[in-house]
Amino acid sequence: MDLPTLMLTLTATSFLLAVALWLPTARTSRIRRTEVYLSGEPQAHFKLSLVEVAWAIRYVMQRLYKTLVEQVQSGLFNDWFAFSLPYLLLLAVLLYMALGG
Amino acid sequence: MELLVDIVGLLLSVAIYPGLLFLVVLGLLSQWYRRKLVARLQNRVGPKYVGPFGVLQPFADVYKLLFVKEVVTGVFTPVRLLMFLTALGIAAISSAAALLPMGLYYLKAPLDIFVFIYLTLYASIAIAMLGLGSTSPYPSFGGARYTSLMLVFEPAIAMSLIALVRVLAPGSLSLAEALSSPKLLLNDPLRGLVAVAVIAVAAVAYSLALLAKAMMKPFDIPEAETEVAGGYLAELSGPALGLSILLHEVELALYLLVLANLVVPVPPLASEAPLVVVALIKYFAVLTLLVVVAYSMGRVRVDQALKTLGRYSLTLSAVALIASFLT
Repeated sequence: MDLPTLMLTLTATSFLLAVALWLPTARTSRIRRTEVYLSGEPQAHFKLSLVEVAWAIRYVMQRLYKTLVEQVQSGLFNDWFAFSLPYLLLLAVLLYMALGG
Repeated sequence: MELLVDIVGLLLSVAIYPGLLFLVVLGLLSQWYRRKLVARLQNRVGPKYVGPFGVLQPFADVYKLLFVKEVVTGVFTPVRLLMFLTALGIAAISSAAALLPMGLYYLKAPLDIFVFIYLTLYASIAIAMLGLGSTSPYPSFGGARYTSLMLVFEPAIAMSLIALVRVLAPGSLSLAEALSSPKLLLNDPLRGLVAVAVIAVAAVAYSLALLAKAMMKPFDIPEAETEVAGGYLAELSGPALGLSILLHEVELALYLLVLANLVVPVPPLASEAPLVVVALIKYFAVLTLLVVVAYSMGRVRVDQALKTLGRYSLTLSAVALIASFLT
């Protein structure tokens, strides 16, 4: 058997078996949903506006930018090299294997 | 006719032996053994009531959970989707077991180790999603912690597995071949020594990463009971909890079976009953060693876990992988 056939066969078998496992358990059980716990506040207070999401994304991106600037783009070649060395090594190993090593 | 035999053989090996049924029984027996051993270390009795010496306790727990009529969950949790992902994780692990040369029918291809790594990733992603899919903070913390550990232990497991298979089946990089007919380099002492060193280093890296993957001490922060109330399991109940316990046990069983038989490649894994018994003896020996080492340590913080795994698991697995090219 070749590799793509093996991968496709086993993936298809996995999905088939997953459905066979899931259907009986999903059918027999009833779901009772409980409210979100908001320190005693009613669930109606649970709102999420688009502006808040935008601010959250900005906050995460700011932290990412700060990390990149302080640790990778510090102007020192050594910092950049230390950051990219593991990726370069992985690339070298993958290339070696791809070329039949 | 040949196609029919192939389909029946594949289905039997994935669903029964050495797939789902075998792994579930082995995983739950290992859970009993682990709990009994840890209880012994901590001066407790451990599982006791169901079956002789409490051996059927994990089976009773999972059976009870799987057939509970009502699932209680948060209002925004997509519990049926999470159950499907968990079932998919279990199924992918069972399919990966079809690569083990233990049954009468098994699959084999050059480079099949990559298929094994790919299939077992479904299980890790399912566990991470169980945590991240809940709106409660505890499972989210658990999921986030597991995901950050995953970034270190998955490459470590993959690299050490490739290193082990590269040493034992250098031509084909096939897991099935490494397990069934390992190349031992007995005629070349120097390369043989390098091979033994690679196996030892990869085994240490793999075991450490496996402790993190199975959320055993000291890397049990994703499910720390006292901090995050059970982490990714906190909001699960009924069949969803039963399936996630099964996923955890089945995953650990498969990884340990592969580790035990790659690290001690003699006698090789085959379908004959005595060899299967020897494989299981190796399995329980490795499990004992891991549990004794794991439970003699306390829980570490996320940053400590990442540092330890990065230093002793990721680096060692990279060293093993590079050194495996020398054999």
